[in-house]
Amino acid sequence: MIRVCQGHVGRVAQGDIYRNVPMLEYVAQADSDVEMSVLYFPLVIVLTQDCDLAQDQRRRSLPEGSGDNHDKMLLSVLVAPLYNAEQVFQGTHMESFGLKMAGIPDKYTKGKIRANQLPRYHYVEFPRSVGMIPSIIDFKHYFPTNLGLLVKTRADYHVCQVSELFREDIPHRFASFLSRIGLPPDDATAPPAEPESGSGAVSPVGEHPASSTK
Amino acid sequence: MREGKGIFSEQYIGKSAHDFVPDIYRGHQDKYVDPRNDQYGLMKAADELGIARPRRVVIRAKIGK
Repeated sequence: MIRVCQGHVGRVAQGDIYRNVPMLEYVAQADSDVEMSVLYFPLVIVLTQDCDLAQDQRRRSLPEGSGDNHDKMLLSVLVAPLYNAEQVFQGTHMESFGLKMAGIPDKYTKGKIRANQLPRYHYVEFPRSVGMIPSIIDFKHYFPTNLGLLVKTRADYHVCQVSELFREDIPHRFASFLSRIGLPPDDATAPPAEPESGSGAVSPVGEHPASSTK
Repeated sequence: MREGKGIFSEQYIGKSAHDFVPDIYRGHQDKYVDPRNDQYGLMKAADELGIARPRRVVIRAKIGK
């Protein structure tokens, strides 16, 4: 179980949990018609480094026209959605987007996720006083969001902040997952390469088939 | 959710989340909530309890001169 503080430090901080955060999926325009798709995530956690957020806040709080430059200001804040743990285990947490995720049915893997031993997931169990259900962060899902939006909605949508150590653990594991190196499979386990139709040529490893056609 | 699974039902949100549903919403647990006609604010309540799923909203507009 993690520890949380339910007040906030007067600015957006690392480990903050916000409710109802939008992610702009796309904007398309054809003549005078505009279509915009927005994904709303019920809960997200802020992953951006706290010192960066503190420096940004310090710069923003300076009076207009003062200060040498805007070097420390951030363009966005990196956040990751929190999903209902049980829905993640069932593979249904993205059902509303028409996506079926791989469920995690076996007890052994669930146990590993709960112990944060699988690099892709971070399991978060809140104290009963917070009134939030056990949740999972999937490190494959993250997006930048507007800092001003979080500031503006903080009074209504700020839920709590994950306490020290627990909050550092999350971006640390996220960074480690993001920086993993995907090695090519062994020849023995790789699926057999399909010859190109007609020529019988096989595209070299690592090269897109379309780029090898002449 | 459309298959008779209400937004507060154990089937939809799982057992651990179901334990968090306040009594006031238990009466709605078998009812499907249409977001366009959410007269009791059930979707909002589900958001606040952190038991809602992410959702997509598509906005279409015409821009003129």
